[in-house]
Amino acid sequence: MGFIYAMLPMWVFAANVMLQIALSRYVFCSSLLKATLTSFSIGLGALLLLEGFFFGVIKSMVPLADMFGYAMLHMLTYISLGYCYVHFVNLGETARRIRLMRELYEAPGGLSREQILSKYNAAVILENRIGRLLTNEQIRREGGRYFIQRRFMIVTALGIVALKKFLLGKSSERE
Amino acid sequence: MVVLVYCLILFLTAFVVHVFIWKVRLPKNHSKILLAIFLTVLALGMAAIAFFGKRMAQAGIPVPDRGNDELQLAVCYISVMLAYVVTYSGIEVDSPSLVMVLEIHRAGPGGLAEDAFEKAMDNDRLVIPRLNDLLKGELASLEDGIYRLTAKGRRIARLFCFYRRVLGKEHKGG
Repeated sequence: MGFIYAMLPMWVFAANVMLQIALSRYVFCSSLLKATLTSFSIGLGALLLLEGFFFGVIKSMVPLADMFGYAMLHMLTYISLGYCYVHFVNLGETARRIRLMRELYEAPGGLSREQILSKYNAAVILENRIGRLLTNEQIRREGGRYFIQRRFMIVTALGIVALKKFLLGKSSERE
Repeated sequence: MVVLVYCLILFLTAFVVHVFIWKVRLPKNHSKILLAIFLTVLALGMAAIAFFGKRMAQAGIPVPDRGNDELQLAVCYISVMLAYVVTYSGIEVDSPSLVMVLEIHRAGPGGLAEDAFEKAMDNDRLVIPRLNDLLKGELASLEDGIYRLTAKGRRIARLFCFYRRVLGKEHKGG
Protein backbone atom coordinates (compact mmCIF):
# COMPACT_ATOMS: atom_id res chain seq x y z
CA MET A 1 0.00 0.00 0.00
CA GLY A 2 1.78 3.11 -1.22
CA PHE A 3 1.98 6.45 0.49
CA ILE A 4 0.17 8.18 -2.39
CA TYR A 5 -2.85 5.85 -2.01
CA ALA A 6 -2.72 6.05 1.80
CA MET A 7 -2.97 9.84 1.65
CA LEU A 8 -5.58 9.92 -1.16
CA PRO A 9 -8.27 11.76 0.87
CA MET A 10 -5.72 14.48 1.78
CA TRP A 11 -4.82 15.13 -1.87
CA VAL A 12 -8.48 15.24 -2.88
CA PHE A 13 -9.28 17.49 0.07
CA ALA A 14 -6.49 19.91 -0.95
CA ALA A 15 -7.92 20.01 -4.49
CA ASN A 16 -11.39 20.59 -3.02
CA VAL A 17 -10.12 23.64 -1.09
CA MET A 18 -8.52 25.13 -4.21
CA LEU A 19 -11.67 24.50 -6.25
CA GLN A 20 -13.83 26.06 -3.53
CA ILE A 21 -11.68 29.22 -3.53
CA ALA A 22 -11.96 29.49 -7.33
CA LEU A 23 -15.73 28.87 -7.28
CA SER A 24 -16.41 31.39 -4.51
CA ARG A 25 -14.27 34.04 -6.25
CA TYR A 26 -15.44 33.58 -9.83
CA VAL A 27 -18.66 31.51 -10.06
CA PHE A 28 -20.83 31.61 -6.93
CA CYS A 29 -19.82 35.10 -5.77
CA SER A 30 -23.02 35.68 -3.77
CA SER A 31 -23.34 32.24 -2.11
CA LEU A 32 -20.43 30.80 -0.20
CA LEU A 33 -22.58 27.79 0.68
CA LYS A 34 -23.16 26.88 -2.99
CA ALA A 35 -19.43 27.19 -3.76
CA THR A 36 -18.50 25.06 -0.75
CA LEU A 37 -21.10 22.33 -1.36
CA THR A 38 -20.34 22.17 -5.09
CA SER A 39 -16.58 21.78 -4.59
CA PHE A 40 -17.19 19.21 -1.81
CA SER A 41 -19.47 17.13 -4.07
CA ILE A 42 -17.02 17.27 -7.00
CA GLY A 43 -14.23 16.18 -4.61
CA LEU A 44 -16.33 13.27 -3.36
CA GLY A 45 -17.00 12.14 -6.93
CA ALA A 46 -13.28 12.44 -7.76
CA LEU A 47 -12.37 10.38 -4.69
CA LEU A 48 -14.77 7.59 -5.75
CA LEU A 49 -13.27 7.55 -9.26
CA LEU A 50 -9.72 7.44 -7.86
CA GLU A 51 -10.67 4.60 -5.49
CA GLY A 52 -11.93 2.72 -8.54
CA PHE A 53 -8.70 3.45 -10.41
CA PHE A 54 -6.51 2.24 -7.53
CA PHE A 55 -8.76 -0.79 -7.12
CA GLY A 56 -7.96 -1.70 -10.73
CA VAL A 57 -4.21 -1.24 -10.15
CA ILE A 58 -3.79 -3.14 -6.87
CA LYS A 59 -6.70 -5.63 -6.89
CA SER A 60 -4.31 -8.53 -7.32
CA MET A 61 -2.36 -7.55 -4.17
CA VAL A 62 -5.16 -6.69 -1.68
CA PRO A 63 -8.28 -8.76 -0.77
CA LEU A 64 -11.63 -7.27 -1.83
CA ALA A 65 -12.81 -6.75 1.79
CA ASP A 66 -9.66 -4.72 2.55
CA MET A 67 -10.10 -2.63 -0.61
CA PHE A 68 -13.65 -1.86 0.49
CA GLY A 69 -12.39 -1.03 4.01
CA TYR A 70 -9.75 1.38 2.68
CA ALA A 71 -12.31 3.04 0.41
CA MET A 72 -14.69 3.54 3.35
CA LEU A 73 -11.83 4.84 5.51
CA HIS A 74 -10.89 7.35 2.79
CA MET A 75 -14.50 8.47 2.35
CA LEU A 76 -14.86 8.96 6.11
CA THR A 77 -11.61 10.97 6.21
CA TYR A 78 -12.58 13.13 3.23
CA ILE A 79 -16.13 13.78 4.49
CA SER A 80 -14.81 14.70 7.96
CA LEU A 81 -12.16 17.05 6.56
CA GLY A 82 -14.69 18.59 4.16
CA TYR A 83 -17.11 19.09 7.04
CA CYS A 84 -14.37 20.81 9.10
CA TYR A 85 -13.55 23.07 6.15
CA VAL A 86 -17.23 24.01 5.66
CA HIS A 87 -17.27 24.88 9.34
CA PHE A 88 -14.08 26.95 9.08
CA VAL A 89 -15.40 28.93 6.08
CA ASN A 90 -18.75 29.32 7.81
CA LEU A 91 -17.06 30.61 10.98
CA GLY A 92 -15.41 33.42 9.02
CA GLU A 93 -18.73 34.23 7.38
CA THR A 94 -21.28 33.87 10.17
CA ALA A 95 -19.72 33.51 13.65
CA ARG A 96 -20.48 36.43 15.93
CA ARG A 97 -17.24 36.04 17.90
CA ILE A 98 -15.17 36.17 14.71
CA ARG A 99 -17.08 39.23 13.44
CA LEU A 100 -16.51 40.97 16.81
CA MET A 101 -12.80 40.08 16.67
CA ARG A 102 -12.55 41.47 13.14
CA GLU A 103 -14.16 44.74 14.27
CA LEU A 104 -11.62 44.97 17.12
CA TYR A 105 -8.76 44.01 14.77
CA GLU A 106 -9.64 46.95 12.52
CA ALA A 107 -9.53 49.31 15.53
CA PRO A 108 -6.03 48.95 17.04
CA GLY A 109 -6.86 51.48 19.78
CA GLY A 110 -9.80 49.33 20.89
CA LEU A 111 -13.55 50.00 20.99
CA SER A 112 -16.05 50.73 23.74
CA ARG A 113 -19.16 48.56 24.05
CA GLU A 114 -21.25 51.37 22.50
CA GLN A 115 -18.88 51.68 19.54
CA ILE A 116 -18.96 47.92 19.00
CA LEU A 117 -22.77 47.87 19.14
CA SER A 118 -22.98 50.76 16.66
CA LYS A 119 -21.03 48.63 14.14
CA TYR A 120 -22.43 45.21 14.96
CA ASN A 121 -25.70 44.66 16.75
CA ALA A 122 -28.79 42.44 16.90
CA ALA A 123 -30.40 44.24 13.94
CA VAL A 124 -27.34 43.58 11.73
CA ILE A 125 -27.20 39.94 12.86
CA LEU A 126 -30.89 39.40 12.06
CA GLU A 127 -30.60 41.11 8.67
CA ASN A 128 -27.51 39.05 7.71
CA ARG A 129 -28.98 35.75 8.85
CA ILE A 130 -32.41 36.21 7.33
CA GLY A 131 -30.69 37.29 4.11
CA ARG A 132 -28.57 34.12 4.07
CA LEU A 133 -31.50 31.82 4.91
CA LEU A 134 -33.53 33.41 2.07
CA THR A 135 -30.61 33.37 -0.43
CA ASN A 136 -29.87 29.71 0.33
CA GLU A 137 -33.62 28.95 0.08
CA GLN A 138 -33.81 27.48 3.58
CA ILE A 139 -36.80 29.74 4.32
CA ARG A 140 -39.18 31.84 2.19
CA ARG A 141 -41.04 35.11 2.88
CA GLU A 142 -44.70 35.43 1.88
CA GLY A 143 -47.20 38.09 2.95
CA GLY A 144 -45.01 39.38 5.78
CA ARG A 145 -44.46 35.91 7.22
CA TYR A 146 -41.60 33.39 7.14
CA PHE A 147 -42.05 29.73 6.17
CA ILE A 148 -39.68 26.75 6.09
CA GLN A 149 -38.58 26.04 2.53
CA ARG A 150 -36.25 23.05 3.00
CA ARG A 151 -36.23 20.39 5.69
CA PHE A 152 -32.42 20.16 5.92
CA MET A 153 -32.02 23.02 8.41
CA ILE A 154 -34.86 21.66 10.58
CA VAL A 155 -33.29 18.21 10.72
CA THR A 156 -29.90 19.80 11.61
CA ALA A 157 -31.45 22.09 14.25
CA LEU A 158 -33.40 19.24 15.89
CA GLY A 159 -30.28 17.04 15.86
CA ILE A 160 -28.24 19.77 17.57
CA VAL A 161 -30.98 20.27 20.20
CA ALA A 162 -31.09 16.50 20.87
CA LEU A 163 -27.29 16.35 21.31
CA LYS A 164 -27.39 19.44 23.53
CA LYS A 165 -30.00 17.77 25.78
CA PHE A 166 -28.03 14.51 25.88
CA LEU A 167 -24.60 16.01 26.61
CA LEU A 168 -25.35 19.23 28.49
CA GLY A 169 -28.77 18.41 29.95
CA LYS A 170 -30.38 21.55 28.46
CA SER A 171 -31.77 22.56 25.07
CA SER A 172 -30.44 26.16 25.02
CA GLU A 173 -27.53 28.08 26.52
CA ARG A 174 -30.09 30.44 28.09
CA GLU A 175 -31.62 27.68 30.28
CA MET B 1 -11.18 -3.24 6.75
CA VAL B 2 -8.98 -3.69 9.85
CA VAL B 3 -7.88 -0.03 9.87
CA LEU B 4 -11.48 1.20 9.58
CA VAL B 5 -12.61 -1.07 12.44
CA TYR B 6 -9.73 0.09 14.69
CA CYS B 7 -10.49 3.72 13.87
CA LEU B 8 -14.16 3.28 14.81
CA ILE B 9 -13.29 1.36 18.01
CA LEU B 10 -10.87 4.11 19.12
CA PHE B 11 -13.38 6.87 18.30
CA LEU B 12 -16.21 5.11 20.15
CA THR B 13 -13.93 4.53 23.16
CA ALA B 14 -13.04 8.24 23.28
CA PHE B 15 -16.71 9.19 22.85
CA VAL B 16 -17.79 6.95 25.74
CA VAL B 17 -15.04 8.42 27.99
CA HIS B 18 -16.15 11.94 26.99
CA VAL B 19 -19.85 11.23 27.74
CA PHE B 20 -18.92 9.59 31.06
CA ILE B 21 -16.85 12.65 32.16
CA TRP B 22 -19.59 15.04 31.01
CA LYS B 23 -22.23 13.14 33.00
CA VAL B 24 -20.06 13.16 36.14
CA ARG B 25 -19.10 16.82 35.92
CA LEU B 26 -19.07 19.38 33.09
CA PRO B 27 -15.51 20.69 32.59
CA LYS B 28 -14.78 24.43 32.45
CA ASN B 29 -13.11 24.45 29.05
CA HIS B 30 -15.09 21.96 26.99
CA SER B 31 -13.05 22.06 23.75
CA LYS B 32 -9.64 21.69 25.44
CA ILE B 33 -10.79 18.70 27.51
CA LEU B 34 -12.47 17.11 24.49
CA LEU B 35 -9.25 17.36 22.46
CA ALA B 36 -7.25 16.01 25.40
CA ILE B 37 -9.58 12.97 25.74
CA PHE B 38 -9.58 12.13 22.03
CA LEU B 39 -5.81 12.59 21.58
CA THR B 40 -5.04 10.54 24.72
CA VAL B 41 -7.20 7.65 23.46
CA LEU B 42 -5.44 7.82 20.07
CA ALA B 43 -1.99 7.83 21.68
CA LEU B 44 -2.89 4.90 23.97
CA GLY B 45 -4.45 2.98 21.06
CA MET B 46 -1.41 3.48 18.83
CA ALA B 47 0.93 2.51 21.69
CA ALA B 48 -1.14 -0.65 22.33
CA ILE B 49 -0.94 -1.61 18.64
CA ALA B 50 2.84 -1.00 18.67
CA PHE B 51 3.47 -3.03 21.86
CA PHE B 52 0.92 -5.84 21.55
CA GLY B 53 0.48 -5.94 17.76
CA LYS B 54 2.74 -8.96 17.24
CA ARG B 55 1.16 -10.98 20.06
CA MET B 56 -2.34 -10.07 18.84
CA ALA B 57 -1.45 -11.17 15.29
CA GLN B 58 -0.05 -14.47 16.65
CA ALA B 59 -3.33 -15.00 18.51
CA GLY B 60 -5.22 -14.53 15.24
CA ILE B 61 -6.50 -11.00 15.98
CA PRO B 62 -6.09 -8.79 12.90
CA VAL B 63 -4.02 -5.62 13.49
CA PRO B 64 -3.14 -2.72 11.18
CA ASP B 65 0.26 -3.00 9.47
CA ARG B 66 3.09 -0.69 10.52
CA GLY B 67 3.67 2.41 8.37
CA ASN B 68 0.92 3.46 5.97
CA ASP B 69 -1.89 1.63 7.79
CA GLU B 70 -1.05 3.36 11.08
CA LEU B 71 -0.76 6.67 9.24
CA GLN B 72 -4.21 6.19 7.67
CA LEU B 73 -5.64 5.22 11.03
CA ALA B 74 -4.26 8.38 12.68
CA VAL B 75 -5.33 10.67 9.81
CA CYS B 76 -8.88 9.28 9.73
CA TYR B 77 -9.23 9.36 13.52
CA ILE B 78 -7.97 12.97 13.75
CA SER B 79 -10.30 14.05 10.90
CA VAL B 80 -13.35 12.51 12.59
CA MET B 81 -12.22 13.94 15.95
CA LEU B 82 -11.97 17.46 14.49
CA ALA B 83 -15.39 17.06 12.85
CA TYR B 84 -16.84 16.10 16.23
CA VAL B 85 -15.10 18.99 18.04
CA VAL B 86 -16.43 21.58 15.55
CA THR B 87 -19.91 20.05 15.85
CA TYR B 88 -19.59 20.23 19.61
CA SER B 89 -18.86 23.99 19.42
CA GLY B 90 -22.27 24.34 17.74
CA ILE B 91 -23.83 22.38 20.60
CA GLU B 92 -22.19 24.57 23.25
CA VAL B 93 -23.44 27.89 21.87
CA ASP B 94 -26.90 28.66 20.41
CA SER B 95 -26.63 29.55 16.72
CA PRO B 96 -29.06 32.39 15.89
CA SER B 97 -29.78 30.86 12.46
CA LEU B 98 -30.76 27.53 13.99
CA VAL B 99 -32.86 29.28 16.66
CA MET B 100 -34.62 31.26 13.90
CA VAL B 101 -35.32 28.14 11.84
CA LEU B 102 -36.67 26.34 14.93
CA GLU B 103 -38.94 29.31 15.72
CA ILE B 104 -40.35 29.27 12.17
CA HIS B 105 -40.80 25.49 12.39
CA ARG B 106 -42.60 25.79 15.74
CA ALA B 107 -44.93 28.47 14.32
CA GLY B 108 -46.46 25.73 12.12
CA PRO B 109 -48.11 25.96 8.69
CA GLY B 110 -49.27 29.56 9.27
CA GLY B 111 -45.64 30.77 9.30
CA LEU B 112 -44.00 33.30 11.61
CA ALA B 113 -44.57 37.08 11.49
CA GLU B 114 -41.60 39.10 10.16
CA ASP B 115 -41.29 41.20 13.32
CA ALA B 116 -41.28 38.19 15.70
CA PHE B 117 -37.47 37.96 15.69
CA GLU B 118 -36.94 41.68 16.35
CA LYS B 119 -38.84 41.36 19.65
CA ALA B 120 -37.11 38.15 20.79
CA MET B 121 -33.53 38.78 19.70
CA ASP B 122 -31.75 41.81 21.13
CA ASN B 123 -28.12 42.75 21.89
CA ASP B 124 -28.31 41.17 25.34
CA ARG B 125 -29.10 37.82 23.75
CA LEU B 126 -27.03 37.98 20.55
CA VAL B 127 -23.98 40.19 21.11
CA ILE B 128 -23.12 40.67 24.79
CA PRO B 129 -22.67 36.92 25.61
CA ARG B 130 -20.22 36.59 22.68
CA LEU B 131 -18.28 39.68 23.85
CA ASN B 132 -18.05 38.05 27.28
CA ASP B 133 -16.83 34.84 25.58
CA LEU B 134 -13.94 36.81 24.02
CA LEU B 135 -12.91 37.98 27.49
CA LYS B 136 -13.32 34.49 29.01
CA GLY B 137 -11.27 32.91 26.22
CA GLU B 138 -8.56 35.58 26.64
CA LEU B 139 -9.07 36.67 23.03
CA ALA B 140 -9.81 40.23 24.15
CA SER B 141 -9.23 42.35 27.23
CA LEU B 142 -11.38 45.07 28.82
CA GLU B 143 -9.64 48.07 30.37
CA ASP B 144 -11.32 51.38 31.24
CA GLY B 145 -14.38 50.34 29.26
CA ILE B 146 -12.34 49.68 26.10
CA TYR B 147 -12.20 46.23 24.46
CA ARG B 148 -8.87 45.34 22.79
CA LEU B 149 -7.72 42.11 21.18
CA THR B 150 -5.00 40.14 22.94
CA ALA B 151 -2.07 38.73 20.92
CA LYS B 152 -3.95 35.41 20.62
CA GLY B 153 -7.09 37.25 19.46
CA ARG B 154 -5.12 39.25 16.87
CA ARG B 155 -3.64 36.04 15.41
CA ILE B 156 -7.06 34.46 14.99
CA ALA B 157 -8.62 37.67 13.60
CA ARG B 158 -5.71 38.02 11.11
CA LEU B 159 -6.25 34.44 9.90
CA PHE B 160 -9.96 34.98 9.22
CA CYS B 161 -9.39 38.42 7.63
CA PHE B 162 -6.80 36.84 5.32
CA TYR B 163 -9.01 33.90 4.38
CA ARG B 164 -12.00 36.11 3.64
CA ARG B 165 -9.80 38.10 1.26
CA VAL B 166 -8.70 34.83 -0.40
CA LEU B 167 -12.38 33.91 -0.89
CA GLY B 168 -13.04 37.37 -2.33
CA LYS B 169 -15.53 38.33 0.37
CA GLU B 170 -15.94 42.08 0.72
CA HIS B 171 -18.98 42.38 3.00
CA LYS B 172 -18.47 41.89 6.72
CA GLY B 173 -20.74 38.90 7.40
CA GLY B 174 -21.52 37.86 10.95
